[in-house]
Amino acid sequence: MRRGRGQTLRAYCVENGEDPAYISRLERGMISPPKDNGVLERLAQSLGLKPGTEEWDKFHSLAYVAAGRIPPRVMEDKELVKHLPLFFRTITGERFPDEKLDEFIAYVREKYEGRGD
Amino acid sequence: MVREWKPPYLSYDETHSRAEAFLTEHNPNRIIPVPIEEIIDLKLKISIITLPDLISRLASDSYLEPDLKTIFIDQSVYEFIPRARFSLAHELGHLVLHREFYEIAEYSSSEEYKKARNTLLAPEADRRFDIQAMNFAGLVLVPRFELNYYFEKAKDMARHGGIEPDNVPRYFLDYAASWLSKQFEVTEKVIKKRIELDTLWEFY
Repeated sequence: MRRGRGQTLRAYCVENGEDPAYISRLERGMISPPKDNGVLERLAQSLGLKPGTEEWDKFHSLAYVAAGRIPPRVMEDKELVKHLPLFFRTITGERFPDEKLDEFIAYVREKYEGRGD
Repeated sequence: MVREWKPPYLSYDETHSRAEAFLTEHNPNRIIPVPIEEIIDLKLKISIITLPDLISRLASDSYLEPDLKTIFIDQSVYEFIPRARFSLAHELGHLVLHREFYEIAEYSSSEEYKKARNTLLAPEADRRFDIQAMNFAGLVLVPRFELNYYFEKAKDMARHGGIEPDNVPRYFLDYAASWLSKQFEVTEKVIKKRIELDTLWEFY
């Protein structure tokens, strides 16, 4: 995203008062994204993202996933959370009755289809 | 058995041609100072990652990863822009001139890089490896045509100030190196080396 804005690591860090050692490692996936929401928001804003936009949500979702956490938006959806154990066990190769999977797929489709995320 | 690798012989003029080809592709508008970080970071999409104490561990400012996608640079070097620019251009020199080394070498840390160099390069080859990259860096950051142009300008400036460069060669060299280092955003040492290699001024 920084490169997309035509900013070198140095220019970005100088403009936003960030530490190049930290930012370069973060970008390269050598360290996990910050868990502190305030820091995440600061980084998102420094990249020109606006709260409430699709890019803002995507940035936060990716940061949560990269840190091994489930995005809050998912956690707020009680019905979806109910299906998470099934989802995780399925993607790690465990087999489940088709009707349970169908139920989960139908829920996700109804709730999220067409949202692009 | 470990394979030994030798950088190909390359004259200074051949290195100059490679540096000019690089500039034609990546700095076609001949911007001075050469925007080396933009070229590396934004055009070539090579990540620049700073590491504390790299110099003490490696006895070198920086190194390039074998995937050619990351340059690690000492944190304190990175903070001193003229030296950082040269170190980064030096790694580009390795990328352009010594690609084969990176196909053979296997390492994922500075210690392993040091070991890979010691294993793959005999002392003479290791010296050539570095000299070629340094020459490339100098020729990219201080291109021949622009150096000539600015060097003549420095002479004019000195004459305007009532100083005839030929009468005070040492003093003029220091004066020119100081001024040129700001134009090209490199250290005075790099400027003096470029002047020496292009035989623009007699060294005493």
